Amino acid sequence: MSNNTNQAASDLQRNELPAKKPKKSKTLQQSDKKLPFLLLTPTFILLAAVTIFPILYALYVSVMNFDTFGNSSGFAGLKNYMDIFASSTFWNAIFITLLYTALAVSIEIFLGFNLALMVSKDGKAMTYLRWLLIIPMMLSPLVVAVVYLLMMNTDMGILNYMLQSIGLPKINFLGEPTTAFLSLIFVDVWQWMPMCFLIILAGLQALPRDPFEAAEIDGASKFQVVRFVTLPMLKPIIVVALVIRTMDALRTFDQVFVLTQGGPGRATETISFLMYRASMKNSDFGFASAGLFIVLIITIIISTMLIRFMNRSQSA
Amino acid sequence: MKKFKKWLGVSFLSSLLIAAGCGGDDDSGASGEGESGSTEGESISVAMVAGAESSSLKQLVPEFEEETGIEVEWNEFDYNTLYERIYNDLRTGTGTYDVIFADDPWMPMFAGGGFLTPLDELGYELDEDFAKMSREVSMWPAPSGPRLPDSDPDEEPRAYGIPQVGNVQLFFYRNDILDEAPETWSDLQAAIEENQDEVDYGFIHRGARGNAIATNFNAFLWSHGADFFDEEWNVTLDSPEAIEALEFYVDLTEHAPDGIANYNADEIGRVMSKGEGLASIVWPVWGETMEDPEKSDVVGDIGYSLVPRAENGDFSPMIGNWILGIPQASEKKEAALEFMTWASSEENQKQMTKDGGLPSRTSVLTDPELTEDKPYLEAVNEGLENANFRPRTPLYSEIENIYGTYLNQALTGDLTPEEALTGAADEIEALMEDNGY
Amino acid sequence: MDASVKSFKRKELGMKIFRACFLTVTVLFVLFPLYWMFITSLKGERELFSDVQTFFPKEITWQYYFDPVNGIFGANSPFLSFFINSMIVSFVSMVLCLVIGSYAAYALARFKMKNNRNEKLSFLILTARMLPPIVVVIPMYLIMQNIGLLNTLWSMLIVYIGFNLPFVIWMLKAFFEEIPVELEESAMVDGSSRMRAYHSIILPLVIPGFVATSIFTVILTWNEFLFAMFLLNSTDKMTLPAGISTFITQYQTNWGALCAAATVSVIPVLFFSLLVQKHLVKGMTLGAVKG
Repeated sequence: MSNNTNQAASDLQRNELPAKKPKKSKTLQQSDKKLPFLLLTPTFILLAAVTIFPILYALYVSVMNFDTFGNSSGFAGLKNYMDIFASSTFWNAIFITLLYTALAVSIEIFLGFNLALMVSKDGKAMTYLRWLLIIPMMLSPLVVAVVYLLMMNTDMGILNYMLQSIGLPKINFLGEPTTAFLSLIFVDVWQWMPMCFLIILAGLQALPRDPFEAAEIDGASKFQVVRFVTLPMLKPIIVVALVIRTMDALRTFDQVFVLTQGGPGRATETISFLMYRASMKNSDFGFASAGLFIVLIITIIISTMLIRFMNRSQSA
Repeated sequence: MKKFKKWLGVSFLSSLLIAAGCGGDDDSGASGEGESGSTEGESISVAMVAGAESSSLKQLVPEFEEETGIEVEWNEFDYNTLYERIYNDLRTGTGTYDVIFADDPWMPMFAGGGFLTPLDELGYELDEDFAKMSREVSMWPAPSGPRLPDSDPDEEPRAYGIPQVGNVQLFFYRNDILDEAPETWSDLQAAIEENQDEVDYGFIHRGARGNAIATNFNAFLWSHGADFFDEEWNVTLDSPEAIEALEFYVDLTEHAPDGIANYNADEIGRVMSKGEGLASIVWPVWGETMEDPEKSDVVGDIGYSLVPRAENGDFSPMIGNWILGIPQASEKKEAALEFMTWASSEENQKQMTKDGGLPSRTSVLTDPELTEDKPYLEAVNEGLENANFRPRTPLYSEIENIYGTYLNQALTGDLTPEEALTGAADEIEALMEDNGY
Repeated sequence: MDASVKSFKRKELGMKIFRACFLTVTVLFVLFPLYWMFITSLKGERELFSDVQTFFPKEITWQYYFDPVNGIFGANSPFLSFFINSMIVSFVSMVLCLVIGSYAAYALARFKMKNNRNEKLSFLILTARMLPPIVVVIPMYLIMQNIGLLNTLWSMLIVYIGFNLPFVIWMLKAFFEEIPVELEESAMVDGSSRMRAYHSIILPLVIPGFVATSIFTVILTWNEFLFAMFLLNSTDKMTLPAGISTFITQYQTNWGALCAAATVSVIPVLFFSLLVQKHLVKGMTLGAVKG
C-alpha cells in the first residue's frame, strides 16, 4: 500500500509545478498551493488500487505461460499476443461488440430524441410519466435480463404468445444467430433508451426560446424547426449521451451472461463475455490477459476519440 | 530529485510484480492434515450446485449438524459459475470451501491438478455398492481410457471423491403414445413420423451453446461408434461416424420446437411435463417433476429408458455424476470427510431419494421400496451400467467450450455437420498440441 | 380564415391524440416487463408456462415470498442476507465515495492549474470509468486473494468506491462549478481559510447535488454484478445481483422464486428514484452535460 502512496505522491509532485504560477484570481491561488493535491490524493490512491495495480498485474500475466492446470510455467514473451492476433474468435468478439454498440446506441439516441421532443412541452403532468420512463435505467441489467429470459422463451414465453394472438408469426428470439443478436439489442434499447431520453430532454428544456420563435415567424415547418434549429443546438448534449452510452455498451456482459451465454454459435459473444470465458472456463490466463490488454487499448482509443469529438462539439 | 522519482517508480513497479508473482505461485499444499480428534464444534463450508441434486441433501443437513455437532455452511451456485468458483478457489489455495460438489468431467482438472485430497490419506475407501462407473469417474488417474501424455502409465488410480448423485442421461418418452421405448435412433425417427399428429414436437434437443448441447449430443456421438479421441489422444471428432451422428441429430430438428438452439434442461423439462414433446434426453431428477400432479400434465405417461443407439452401435448414455471432494487447502478435512460419508451413506441416500434426489448406490437404486414410487430409478441403474464418460483430461472444460459452440452452429444451420465437426476437430487438435498431447 | 383555424385546431387535436397514444404505448412497453416479473412471482407452477398465458393470475399465491420452505423470506432462503449485504455495501461505499470524491471534485472545480491540468486530471479520472471491468476483475481476484480480502464485503467496498469515484467526482464537480466563485472569495477576504469557506459556505449549497449523486451511487452499486460474481464465493456474503443469478440453475429454474427475488430487489430502487426524481433528473443531466 505504501508504494501506492509513493506513486500518488510522485504523481502529485509532477503536477505541483504549474500551481506555482498563479494567473488570474490571486486570492484563490495564493491561499494554498498544496491543498488541491492533498484533496486529490485519496482519490488517486484508490483509483490506482482498482485500476493501475490490476492492469500492471494483467500486463505481467500476459507475458507468462500457463500450464494445463493454470499454474504459471515461465516467461512466454509475446506468444500470447501473437495468439490473440491470430485468433478469429477474438476478432469476431471485437466485431460483435462494435456492431452491437453502434446499433444499440444509435437506436437509443434516435428514439430518445423523438420521445424527448414529444414530452418536452408538457408541464407537471409529465413529471410522473417521466418517472415511469426512467425506471428501466434504474434496474440491474442482470434482473432485466432474467425477466427477458422468461419473456423471450421462444415456445413458452409471453412475447411470442402475444405475437401469435394478434396473428403474427413467432420470433425465435434467442435461438437463431441474427435474432438473438437483435434481441440483445432490443433489451439494451429497452433499458437505456430512457437514459438518452432523459439527457436529451434536459438539453431541450434548457434551450433558449428565441430561435424557435424566429423560426416560427419565418414560417418554418415543424420538421424544418427540428432539423435546422433544435438539432444543431442540441448537438453537444446528444454527443454527451452518445459518449456515455458507448462506454457502457462496449462492456456489455450481464445480459449476454443470462440470455445467451454468447450463443447461438458466437453470434452474441461480446468481448467481455469472451474474456470471461477464456479466463474463467479455460485456464489460459496468459492468453486472456493479453486479450484484455488489447481490449483496454481499443477502449482507450475509442473513448479518446469520443471525448475529442465531444470537446469539439461543445466548444463549437 | 528526478532520479529519485524514477527510482521510486521502478521500485514500485518491481514490488508490484513480485507481489503479483507470489499470487500465481502461492499454491496449496502447505496446509496441515488437520489433527485427528474431535471434530465437534467445527464449521465446514460446502459448495453445491443449485437444483434438485443438492436440495434433497440440504433438507437433511440439520440432522447431520445435530448428530455430529459439526456446523455446515451451505453455499449454492448456478451450474455456470460453480466450476469457475471451485476451480479458482482450488488453484489459488484459498480454502474457502471444505467440501466441493463436482460434476464428473471436472475431476481430471481438480484431482489431476493435485487440488483435491486423495481419500485414502484420510483412511477412506470407496465401497463396491457405488455403481462401477460412478467409482471410476471419482478416481484419478482414470482407471480406463487413455492417460495424460507425460504421466506414469502404471500409477494406481486413487479415489479423490465420493460419488453422491448417480446422474446419467435418461430417455424420456410418452408411453401412452408409444408402446415401447425406441431401441435405436431409426426407431425413434419412425415413431416421430408416425405420431406427428398426436403430439406437438418429436425429439426435444437441449441445444444451447456450450455444456448443454455438448452433453446432449454425446449420446448420439458415442452410440454411432464415434468418440472424441482415440487411445493416443488423436482427435477423431471428424470421423464419418461422428458426422453421421450429427447429421442425424440435426435432422431431428424438423419436429423440434423452434427455440431449441437456446434450450437448456429447464426448457426441455417444461416442454415434456406439459406433454408437448414425444421424447427427449433428460436428467433423471426431472422424473420427479413428471410424476408430480402439481407440476405435470403427464403423470404416469412418461416412460424412462436407455438412450437409444445406432443400428450397429452400443447403448451409451452419458454419465454426469456429482462427486463430493475435499480441497487440499481445507483445514477441516476430518469434518469434511465425516460430512461426505454421512451424505453418501445408504440410509441418507435412501431418504434423499424419497425427497426427489438421486442416489449413486446400487442398493438404493434397486431398493424395491423406492422403485415402486420412482419408476426412473430402474432406468438410472440400467443407464449407469451402460454409461460412457467424457474424456478424462483437465482440458475437457475447454474442449467442451469449442465443441459446444460448433455443435450449436450446426444446429442453427450456420454450418453443415461436416463443417462443424471438422472445425471443432481442428481447434481441439491445436489445443491438444499446445498442451503437449 | 375561419376554416383554416378550424383545420388547424383539428390538426392540433389529431396531434394530441397521436401523442397520447404514442406515449401510452411507450409507457406500456416500458412497464410491461416489470409487471410481468411481478405477476409471474404470484403464479402457481402450473400457470407459469401454461398454453393459455394469463395476464392476471387465476389464483394468486404468495408462496414464493412467504412460504416457510420455498419462499424467499423463508428460513431456508439466503435472499434476506443478499438484501442486507447489498444494503451494507451500497450505503457504506456511497458515504465513503462522497467524502473522498467531494474533496477531489472541489479541487478540480476550483483550483486553476497551468496548461489545463484540471482538464487533464479530470480526464484521467474519467478514463477509470471507461475501463471495462472485465479487464481488472481477474487480476483483482488474485490481488484480493493475496491480501486476504477475497470473499469479504471489504473487497466489494474497495472495488465499488474505486469504480464509482470517477462518476461521483464528475457529477459533484458539475455542481460545484454552478456555484459562483465570488461566494468563497468574499468569505476568504473576511478571513476564513480555504477549507473553512468550503465547509461553511459551499457545502450547504450543494446538498441537493450530494443527494442526487449519492442516490446514483447507491443504484450503481446495488445493480453491479460482475465484481460481485467473481469476488464473492459464499452464499452468505453475496449481494443481490450475484445472489439472484445463482437461482438460475442448470436443471430446473424456479421462476416464481426468481421473479419474487427480482421484484423485491427492484423495490428500493424504484422508491429512491421516485423520492428524489427532481434532483435525479437534474443531477444526472448536469453531470452528463458537463462531461
